[in-house]
Amino acid sequence: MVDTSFIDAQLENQRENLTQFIVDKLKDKLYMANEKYSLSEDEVSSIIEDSTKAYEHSLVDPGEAVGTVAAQSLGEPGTQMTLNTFHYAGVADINVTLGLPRIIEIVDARKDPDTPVMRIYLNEESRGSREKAEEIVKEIEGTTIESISKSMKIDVINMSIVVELDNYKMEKQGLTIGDIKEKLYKLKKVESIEDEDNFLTLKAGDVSLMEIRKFFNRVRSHQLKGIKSVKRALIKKEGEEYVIYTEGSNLGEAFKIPGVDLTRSISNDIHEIQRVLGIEAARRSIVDEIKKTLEEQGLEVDIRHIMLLADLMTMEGEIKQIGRHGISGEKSSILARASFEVTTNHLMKAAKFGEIDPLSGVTENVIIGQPIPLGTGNVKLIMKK
Amino acid sequence: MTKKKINILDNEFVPQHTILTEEESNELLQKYNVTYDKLPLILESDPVVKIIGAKPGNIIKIVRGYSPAGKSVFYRYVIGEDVKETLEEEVLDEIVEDDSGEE
Repeated sequence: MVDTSFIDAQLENQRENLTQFIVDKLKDKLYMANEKYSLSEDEVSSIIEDSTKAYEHSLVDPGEAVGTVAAQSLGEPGTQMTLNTFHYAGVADINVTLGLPRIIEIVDARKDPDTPVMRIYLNEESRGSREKAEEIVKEIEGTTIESISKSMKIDVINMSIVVELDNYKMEKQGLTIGDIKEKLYKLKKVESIEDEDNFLTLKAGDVSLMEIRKFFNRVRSHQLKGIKSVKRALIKKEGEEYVIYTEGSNLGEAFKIPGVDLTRSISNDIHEIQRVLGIEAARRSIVDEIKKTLEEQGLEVDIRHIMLLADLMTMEGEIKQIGRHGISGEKSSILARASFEVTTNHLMKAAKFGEIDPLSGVTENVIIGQPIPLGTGNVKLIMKK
Repeated sequence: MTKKKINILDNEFVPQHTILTEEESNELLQKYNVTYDKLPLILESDPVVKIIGAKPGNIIKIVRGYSPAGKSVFYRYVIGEDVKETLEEEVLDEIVEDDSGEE
């Protein structure tokens, strides 16, 4: 049995060639094997040597076309995906765009995703009890006057708006008539609010019929409490804890609510993550979202391809789409740009400004019919005289 | 509602960001034989940059824990918003011109 210090020293020698992660793993494994089989010094050396070789062998070669490989690795599973899938995120009926449409949405870096969803975890005090989760849901869920009333109508004779409140819904949201009146007084044009039983009568002063219609729409969508843009929030039990899923997303506001665990809560709106948590979090979110979508369809793509895509999209410090207005449109070569989309525009513009293409990329050289600077084409050989 | 302290650095999606000193930056550029303009960018207005107080011209070291190879290190160069905007305007001009002639 060799001394552990020998293993450490041998590993230290290879530190240059290996990553920290592999060194740590190898160390653990060697310690274990050493105890079980009592290895000799020779055996330890050759294990480390072989591991180093295997690691170096698995590295990507310089000049390898990783981008093309990533594109094909992501593109092929795309052909197998169902065109339109809607999936219910576990609970009742929050639906989430999945499948090919979702992938396209991410890669195109759309500003407004079809179905923004937040997954909100609760802090240690609140995650165990349903009551506390429900209290937080009340804080999160956006409540408008429309959602707590039985009916709303315009009284044309008195030029007023009559709202019939629903007591049960009000109680559920923890609102009283006093609260509602206070919130409504903040609206412009409100002159007086009278309440009688469950009826609220809003007067807007001397206005025309057109104006009262507009006013009616404003009253109807007036936010009483909760987070704007969150339409619904549902509680789901995951293992031991309660998790809240929301329809609509606003991470910045959600973090402000007491009881929300901001270390784990996340949204699926990538632009919002960039705004609230920064570009690195957005990168991670792109990887996660694509991976999740592919896995949900039973497809397996190596995460490295997705990571390359995400790195490319976040290269400029903000999210760029893969496409004409993003990465493909910013290539330096005219021919490469022209071969992608809107060919004539690019050629015309290049001609107008007298642009020069140094033919340093792959696409240009394929068009011209020259060897491409990739793999073995990447090195230049000079004959010795 | 009681005020709650919000520190987005606690979120598990946000990896560790550290500002490199000038020496470290030079060392890094030398090691990879690049100039600073070849590095990936991060905006000055990025929420994480604001918190750690990095200025345009700094290089930020990002240690990502979430990776198949354990920890991985990444570097980003902090760029000011105004520089970015001028870049963007150029791109925007191009897009406007593009859109007029197609589809």
